[in-house]
Amino acid sequence: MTAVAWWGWALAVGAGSIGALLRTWLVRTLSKRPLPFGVLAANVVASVVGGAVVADRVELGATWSLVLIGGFCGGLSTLSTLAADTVELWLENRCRDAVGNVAVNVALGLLAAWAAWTLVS
Amino acid sequence: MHPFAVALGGAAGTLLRLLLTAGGSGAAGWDPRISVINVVGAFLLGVLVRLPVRPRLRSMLASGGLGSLTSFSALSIAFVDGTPGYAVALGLLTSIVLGVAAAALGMWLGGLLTAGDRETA
Repeated sequence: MTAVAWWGWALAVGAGSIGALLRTWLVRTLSKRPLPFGVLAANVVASVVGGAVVADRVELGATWSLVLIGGFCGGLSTLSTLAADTVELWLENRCRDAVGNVAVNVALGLLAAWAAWTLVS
Repeated sequence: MHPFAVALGGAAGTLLRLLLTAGGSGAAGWDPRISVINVVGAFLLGVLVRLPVRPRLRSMLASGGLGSLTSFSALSIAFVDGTPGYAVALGLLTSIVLGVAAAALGMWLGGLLTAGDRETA
């Protein structure tokens, strides 16, 4: 990451802000039962965008890769909320949902990144 | 959903994550520092969800700041960007297992803090 200009970093921070807004909207809009679907949607969408960007990063260049991956995808996806939601499910004695929440996020996140990468490259 | 608070927190969280991982792979490739950020972010979110914080401040710190500071997409993107399989697995495992444990610890500590508040009130 040597060739990123200052405005690239500024754009990346702005893109992270937009990602956070989109994630918060998804969390408020989508159902929390049986699993917190808002966080899942945010993580899957961020993985799709990230996978597609990685496939095309040579043409996109370092600056736009940083804006889209480090900024937008990083702001949109979250691990802290995934972890906290999983603990809450466990504390509600919904242990199967807690394990399922982690498993579904990991499985669909990896699948989404791989599918987008395969389609674009 | 206090969009300005989320946007501001999202920008701050993204900036902090980019600064903490600067000099590393940045836009692509798994960085062990992401796992450290994820675990610390999950712990702080755990504490925060148990504290009696005003909704606007909660939106800024939790949905915006900690949500954007931590990243799931960095882990799923590493799956397709040529990162060795063991590093992808290590990243997912450390982020998620330690992240969930850290969130649980944070919630317990946050619960203790608020219990103390209630007794002295």
